[in-house]
Amino acid sequence: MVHGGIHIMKRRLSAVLMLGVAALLAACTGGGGDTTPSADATGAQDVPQIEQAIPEKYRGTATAFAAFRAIDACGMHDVEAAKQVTGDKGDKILPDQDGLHLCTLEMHKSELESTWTFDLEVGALFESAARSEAAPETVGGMQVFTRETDRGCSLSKPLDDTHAVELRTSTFTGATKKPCDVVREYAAKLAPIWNDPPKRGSGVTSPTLDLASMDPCTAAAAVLETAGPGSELRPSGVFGCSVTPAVDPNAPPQKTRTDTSVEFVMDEDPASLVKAGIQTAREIMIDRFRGVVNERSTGCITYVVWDPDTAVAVDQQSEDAFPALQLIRVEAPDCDRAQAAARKVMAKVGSR
Amino acid sequence: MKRVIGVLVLAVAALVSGCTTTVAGHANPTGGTGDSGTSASAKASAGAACERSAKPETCQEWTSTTPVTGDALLASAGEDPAATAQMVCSALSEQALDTYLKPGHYRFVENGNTCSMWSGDGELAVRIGINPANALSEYLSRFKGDPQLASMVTELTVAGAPAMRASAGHETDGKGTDTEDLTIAPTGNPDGKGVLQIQLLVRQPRGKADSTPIDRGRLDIRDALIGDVLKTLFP
Repeated sequence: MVHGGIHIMKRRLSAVLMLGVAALLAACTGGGGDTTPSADATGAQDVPQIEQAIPEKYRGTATAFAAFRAIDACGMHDVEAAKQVTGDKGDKILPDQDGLHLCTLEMHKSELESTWTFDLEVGALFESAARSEAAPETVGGMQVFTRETDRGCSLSKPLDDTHAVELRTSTFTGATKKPCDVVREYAAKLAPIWNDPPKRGSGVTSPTLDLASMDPCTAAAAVLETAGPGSELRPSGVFGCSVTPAVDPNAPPQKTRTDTSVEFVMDEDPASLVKAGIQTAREIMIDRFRGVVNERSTGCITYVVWDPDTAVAVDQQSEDAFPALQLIRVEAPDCDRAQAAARKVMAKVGSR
Repeated sequence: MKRVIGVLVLAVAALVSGCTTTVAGHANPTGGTGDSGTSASAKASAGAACERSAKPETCQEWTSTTPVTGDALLASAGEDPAATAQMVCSALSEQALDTYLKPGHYRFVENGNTCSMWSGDGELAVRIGINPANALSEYLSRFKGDPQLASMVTELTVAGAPAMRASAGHETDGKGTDTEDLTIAPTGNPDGKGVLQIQLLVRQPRGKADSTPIDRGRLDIRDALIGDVLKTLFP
């Protein structure tokens, strides 16, 4: 049982995992595991479609990111397995504010005693240099690489030459196991899932995060149209894309950001920034979408609530629990540009 | 974190001296052979050693090559850095490397200009590059003239050759990865154009944290190994 977060509906090859607490404030899609066999390590059967405006030099990365987006990151966890490995209870499981390809599972002994946190990232950068420094191992029949960190451990299962599924955890006061031992044990139990990654929309988790079905570069391409000659789209992450202006070789180096980025994340309702009295934040409407513009020292961010009716309770047991929402995050050098970019993005993808 | 700091320090060194690097850890006072300048002849190739390298995409398998020596070697470094790196990699025999790096060692050319030789456990490495364009005295002048870098620089003699060592504190703390970066005047003349850039590296076992203590004693091969290299390449 977890107290908050994404609801894992049913798991192939494992005991039924109907989690007792419905963590959803919105519609919970039906069960039915992912029964489609995957053609490769990413679970993608066909070459994914990518935004046509992406330059040739980035198309390989874009194609890989598209395949990673199809994987349900929270479906790559198994709460029962984590409970068995840690001896603790599930607390919450939720996509991350850094992108929908990350999913964090938090364990606890009680409401006031948090224990292990498992961060899972689909498509984590794992290049040759990192690979050559990590220790190759076989865990649960999978060829993986482990790496101790000062207080934790990471385990990576390569998806291609430069990316991996990565599972990370850190130790905590009172821990009786070493982080790498916990990660290995948990990953061994996850092997059947990781070897046939669940796809988004297959019903393994709910609610379905339909923002995850879109390409952030398709959204960012709306900004490209007015970004000036020589500007280009660059996939900056699995759920991120930026528009980079052409560099004038004769211009002095820019000390501040010049690009505009679009990211798909899951986070608290941005209206909370205004409610919290943050002076730099103000609420806006972009057509039918609620949003918040927040000026920062490094630029300006416009948050747009993608779907206010699909929310996930972060922790139902907590008095100050807040629902997490799918957000489009548009960051630009200043607020005028951030807001204008958000309008273009929503005009392009908002009708879907 | 340590690696990030290392990169930043190197970036500062390169920025201050307005230069490129031949061997990781070395900033050149001017020009040089390019920071990661993969020459036309340096193409990625699949192979046992390159598969173990940190950058297979800029790796060339080592092929035993009879080296030219002295001024001819320096000239070669200016004309074909990759071919010269193959020669440098050929300077030490299998038996010599068995002594220094223990059996199981492997070698390859990285970045199109650097010979990289590793122990079988991947914890001890020697990287050697040649910058034919600058003299040791130019390095010393540039580094000692910069307040940020001056404290990192030591003049010393290695295997009878005048040399400069540049290192930040985190590179010698006995944890994670330690390096010793040397710039050596191979002809014995600090004002003569052409230096060897040698990096000795010892790091923690694969998979271990950056805070893991390491055995810096493994760097004691320095003088004997460099002496053997100089005997072969600059007789």
